[in-house]
Amino acid sequence: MPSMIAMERDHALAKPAYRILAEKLGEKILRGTDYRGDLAITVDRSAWKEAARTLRDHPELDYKLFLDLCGVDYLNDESRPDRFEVALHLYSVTHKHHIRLKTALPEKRPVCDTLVDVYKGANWFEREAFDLYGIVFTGHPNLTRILTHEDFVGHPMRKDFATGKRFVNKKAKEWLLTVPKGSEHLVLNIGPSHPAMHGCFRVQALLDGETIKDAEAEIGYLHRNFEKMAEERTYWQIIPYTDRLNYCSAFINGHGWALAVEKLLGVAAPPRAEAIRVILSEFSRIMDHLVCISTNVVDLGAITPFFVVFRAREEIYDLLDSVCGARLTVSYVRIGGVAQDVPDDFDARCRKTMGWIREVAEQLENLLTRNIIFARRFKDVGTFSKEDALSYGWVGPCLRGSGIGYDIRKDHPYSGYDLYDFDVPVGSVGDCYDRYLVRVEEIKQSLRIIDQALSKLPQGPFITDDRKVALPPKSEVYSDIESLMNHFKLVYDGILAAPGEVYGYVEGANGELGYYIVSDGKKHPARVKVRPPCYNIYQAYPQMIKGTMLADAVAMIGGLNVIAGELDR
Amino acid sequence: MGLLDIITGKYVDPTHFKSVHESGNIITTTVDAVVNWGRKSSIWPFPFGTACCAIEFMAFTGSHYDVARFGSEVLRFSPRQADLLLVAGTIVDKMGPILKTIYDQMPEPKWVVSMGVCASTGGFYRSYHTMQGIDEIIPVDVYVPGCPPTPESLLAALMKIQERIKSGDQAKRPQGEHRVGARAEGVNDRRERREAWAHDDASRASTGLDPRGRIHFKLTEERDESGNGSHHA
Amino acid sequence: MPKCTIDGKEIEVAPGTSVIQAAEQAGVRVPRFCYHDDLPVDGNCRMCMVEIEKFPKLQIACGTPVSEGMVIKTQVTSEKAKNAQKDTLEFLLVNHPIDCPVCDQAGECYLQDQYMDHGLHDSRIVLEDKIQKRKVVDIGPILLDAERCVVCSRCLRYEREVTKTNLLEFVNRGGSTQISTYNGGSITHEYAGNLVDVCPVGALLSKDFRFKMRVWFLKETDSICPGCSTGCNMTIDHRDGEAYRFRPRRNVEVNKSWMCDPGRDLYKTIGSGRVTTAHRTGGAVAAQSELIDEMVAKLQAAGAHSAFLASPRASNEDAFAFKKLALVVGGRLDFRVGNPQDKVKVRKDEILQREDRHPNTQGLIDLGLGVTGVEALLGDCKAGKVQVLVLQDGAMLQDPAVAEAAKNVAYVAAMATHQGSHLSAAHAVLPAAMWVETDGTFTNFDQRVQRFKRAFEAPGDAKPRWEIALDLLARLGKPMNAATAGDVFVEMAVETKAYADLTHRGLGPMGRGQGDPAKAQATA
Repeated sequence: MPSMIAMERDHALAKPAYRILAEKLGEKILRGTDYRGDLAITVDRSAWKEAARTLRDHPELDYKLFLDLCGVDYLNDESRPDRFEVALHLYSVTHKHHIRLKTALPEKRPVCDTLVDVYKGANWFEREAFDLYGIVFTGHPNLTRILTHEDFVGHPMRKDFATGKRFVNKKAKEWLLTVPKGSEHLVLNIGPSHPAMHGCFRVQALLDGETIKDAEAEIGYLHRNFEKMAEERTYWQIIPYTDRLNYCSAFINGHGWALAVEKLLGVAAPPRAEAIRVILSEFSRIMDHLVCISTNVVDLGAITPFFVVFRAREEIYDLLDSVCGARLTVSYVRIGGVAQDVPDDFDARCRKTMGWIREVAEQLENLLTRNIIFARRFKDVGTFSKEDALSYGWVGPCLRGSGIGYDIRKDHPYSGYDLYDFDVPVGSVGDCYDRYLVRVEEIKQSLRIIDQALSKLPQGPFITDDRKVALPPKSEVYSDIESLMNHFKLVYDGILAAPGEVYGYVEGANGELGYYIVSDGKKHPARVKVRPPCYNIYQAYPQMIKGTMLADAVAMIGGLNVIAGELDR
Repeated sequence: MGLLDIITGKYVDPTHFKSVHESGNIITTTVDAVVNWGRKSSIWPFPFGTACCAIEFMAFTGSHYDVARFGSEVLRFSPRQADLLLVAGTIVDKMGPILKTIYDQMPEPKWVVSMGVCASTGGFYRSYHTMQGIDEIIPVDVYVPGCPPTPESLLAALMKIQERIKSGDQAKRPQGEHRVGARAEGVNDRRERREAWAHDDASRASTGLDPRGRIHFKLTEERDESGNGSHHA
Repeated sequence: MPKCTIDGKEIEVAPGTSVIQAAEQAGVRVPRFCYHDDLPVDGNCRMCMVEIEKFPKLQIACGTPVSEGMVIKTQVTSEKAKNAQKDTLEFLLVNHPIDCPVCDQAGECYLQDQYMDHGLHDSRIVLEDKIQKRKVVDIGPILLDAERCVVCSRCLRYEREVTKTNLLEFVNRGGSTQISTYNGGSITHEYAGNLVDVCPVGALLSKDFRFKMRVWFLKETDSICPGCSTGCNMTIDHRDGEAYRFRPRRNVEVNKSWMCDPGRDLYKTIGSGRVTTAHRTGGAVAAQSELIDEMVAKLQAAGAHSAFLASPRASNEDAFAFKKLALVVGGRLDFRVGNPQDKVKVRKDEILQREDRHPNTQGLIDLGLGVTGVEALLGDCKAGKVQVLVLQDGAMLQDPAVAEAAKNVAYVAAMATHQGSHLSAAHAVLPAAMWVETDGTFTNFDQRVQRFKRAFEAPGDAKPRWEIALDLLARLGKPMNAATAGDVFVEMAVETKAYADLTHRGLGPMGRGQGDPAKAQATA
């Protein structure tokens, strides 16, 4: 079964990127590494923007999809002369290749060029790096705090910032927009406590009647510091935290985390575990799409699909309950496999649940797809072009709705997805209706995958037998000292990964969910950056709603499926 | 005339009940009791859902668990029309002023349910931006543990709220005021905790109680030779 | 200087180096139980097996000195050595009890660590067949658990060579071998804590630390013991603002791998009985800045009629800032209460301890704080010629000479760490931080400057002494260009020849003795 490690090993592009950048930048390209198949190029910070532009524009490279930009603090690493690093992750849809571009910044003046004019999506990412690390990006239009609140002092993700140091926020930030003086337009604040704002994000809109003239978004209302906590937890202990990222499809986040850590360690899960992961991932994907659609239409006034859909969700919850022990936040995945084997009636339960889902999906389609009101509200609303989508870094159903068929399950198969036969729906217009259709079709395709996975479910162990990664069986732990010591070391020391960094990714319900993990050889990861798909998607929202009506804005937000847990981490 | 007990399906002697008059056809009660009965049967929650607990809350309002049968048919998204603030999900420092505003905008009488461990104590997020419980800023009537709590727990919480409405209790003061801005360095500061425990143990000792955590071990009964142990009732 | 090849890497070592030490130099850690850097070689555990060319059988790395041209293959490259180590581990674990959940050594246990790296074998012994021995035997400050013992004889060699007390010995033989004291006796010397450190498993455990905290929760901070002028290097194990134990850190020049028990017990002094708020006589709490303003006013009024009594407990940074303060005000300055300078090099016992129970006497001598002469200073105080007396350590009031002198001074200000009735003699008490709560340096008897690091925050309002002195200087109008202890050290280095061109970072973990070249400064 091809695992994450083997995915890009033979890719010919790996060398061209380095070669072309070396030609262009000469001395300024410092290092290129190929650790675990990830191409990572370090450049001097004076060549930062040029390197990014080359990667984007050069026809042989074509890294047009902006994925992630983050800061890393290497305070405890004495061997590095510079304390900070900025890491940029890009993807080329045409050549199907990921790349990481890095640059080092000194402690006294961590200043770097902005990439806002190269990739539109870099805007919020640079604000986040400034907020959490204090890295200054020259040329950024609005370099202010994004995740932490106004009264916060300091840069919390720095290693010398105590994890628990809190500041009290006395007053919410009132104005997001700058309203021209003497303007007669109404400023409407939508959120963060708002039924349409699923979770807690905020938009301030300048209204001319019903039309939105200007809009500004604000996030960070659920910034729960996943990344800071991850720096003080072992790789296992982070698994429950990952569940709470995209909580509508909790299992997929864990799956992604396990794959990323397995990539870092060079370990593969056995086939049975991979198949179980696929089945539960697909069920989670279905759950997420169902919630997305039903809550979207609740905002428009159609309550019935909500009740219908949640009945199906209960069935999936029952299934997850029987397999994982929990309904929503399952924490079922383990590094190297899954926590325990599936129950004996797993096949029967799954098929019963699939039956329910088929029925509900049919009902949903009957209620919505040909519904004239639904079509009127959704067609040609929220159209987003391909170029913008790539520049912002859209992925998942939103990107596929806009016409680019990038699905990691097909393009970089993991966990045995290449064994199953399924299609990836791609839209043509890029409006809300397309996104809805993509989601509905994906539900059906997920059912296909589950069907095949169930019938092909291989026998065997459910977790790797590498004793440095997986716990020994409990019967042995209680009866001999060797297994007890093994268990002890794994639990309190955790899994130890060799120093290095990887970017592991899965196709989440919203698109590419990535984990950039930097390990320094100790039991806690040195840095974990979650690449949240809806961060890029929501970043485009204010631009999307300018010029549209307020009611359309509400219709649009639901279809983007922005989950605050993932957005703010 | 008799009263039909709808649960058992039997006729009950009405004078059996305290508030029923001797002749069995007049019920006396207080206005409060009637009003409270009305209130508890029509709680209109304001779902302040931020995170994963909100999804379980949505399941709770779905047809399977059906909160509507408790009278909470309508979820009011305006605080001015709701009487139960149901905080579902982690509240972070940035959200604090907004939560307080929402709470203040609710008219009396109002109750607060803190759903999930994040809202109750900060959950397993002990860090620089997470409020260690909403009771730092608003008073809480019922805390529901769980991550997320199952809808059954939430139903139990709702029933506890109903009890409180019936008895007229209302939380007035934020119980965790002392924790505002509290450092959450990984775990609570052990120095403070140690001192609080010592103080607690001392006060327990002065009233003759055992210190906290003292477990009394009882010897199990001896088994006789045939292997038959003595049987406990 | 013999050259040898270890795992394909050629290195040159000093004559007499054993293979295990050479491997360490080459960056390979050969697993061991009985070998210890500061104890004589025994070679009984057979864990450090290596394959050496031209030797037919595997050799123990600890007992084989390196000779010219040796080609050594450790477990990294030799399959034979790897299997031998695995087998040795299996044998060592044959009678080992399943005690991890109740054994304090979990987290720093050689068996656990080496099992994960070199063992990972399946057990072949049935639980019931393990030989049972004595558990929880009280031998003084240590608890002995004979079942966990791997018979490495480290404790025996320690007793024989380091403390020369021979209190532990092997009894019985074969699989039933145990260690024991003679006739149920206990460890009576003051170096019992090292037995706990030296034991690679949980056979010898400290009664004091037993069941208090699991070691994987503890954070480590490098520090220096302030118990006496030897200045043993140590590590503070702490969690969330509370210190749980002190352990020695290896420094060949100062204390090897050892530390005395009185020094270890000092961790108990940190948590309780601290002064946390500024207050006046009788305990009336006052705002810190208000009290400091009052002190400043009094000092400005007193001018030359003031006295500054430094403490050899203070760090170099504290002392330097205090000296600056005294110079600015123009008062008398000294520190030699009880004449510690005479005792600073005098040994108390043959192993580590010295008579002078202050950590930084030599540092204060080197910084030149002995200006006025302590007799003269105290005499002037008693005679009433001094209006303001500033004490760098409130505990000095416990000395009868100082208490006597303080009676006749109009205004006594003290920076105190611990509460006590002696503080009632002071008119103003400022809460001070202890050495674990700030960065700084001590200079030991041998003029070795050693650095200690901040482990956690001081309780309440307590501030480090150098910070209080800097605050006073700033309010007196002569601020020092320093914000951290490191900055104070740099200022000190500018003025003091002994520390020229040094910074905190440049001192390194082993400190800097006389004649050591200053370490290259790291870039900012």
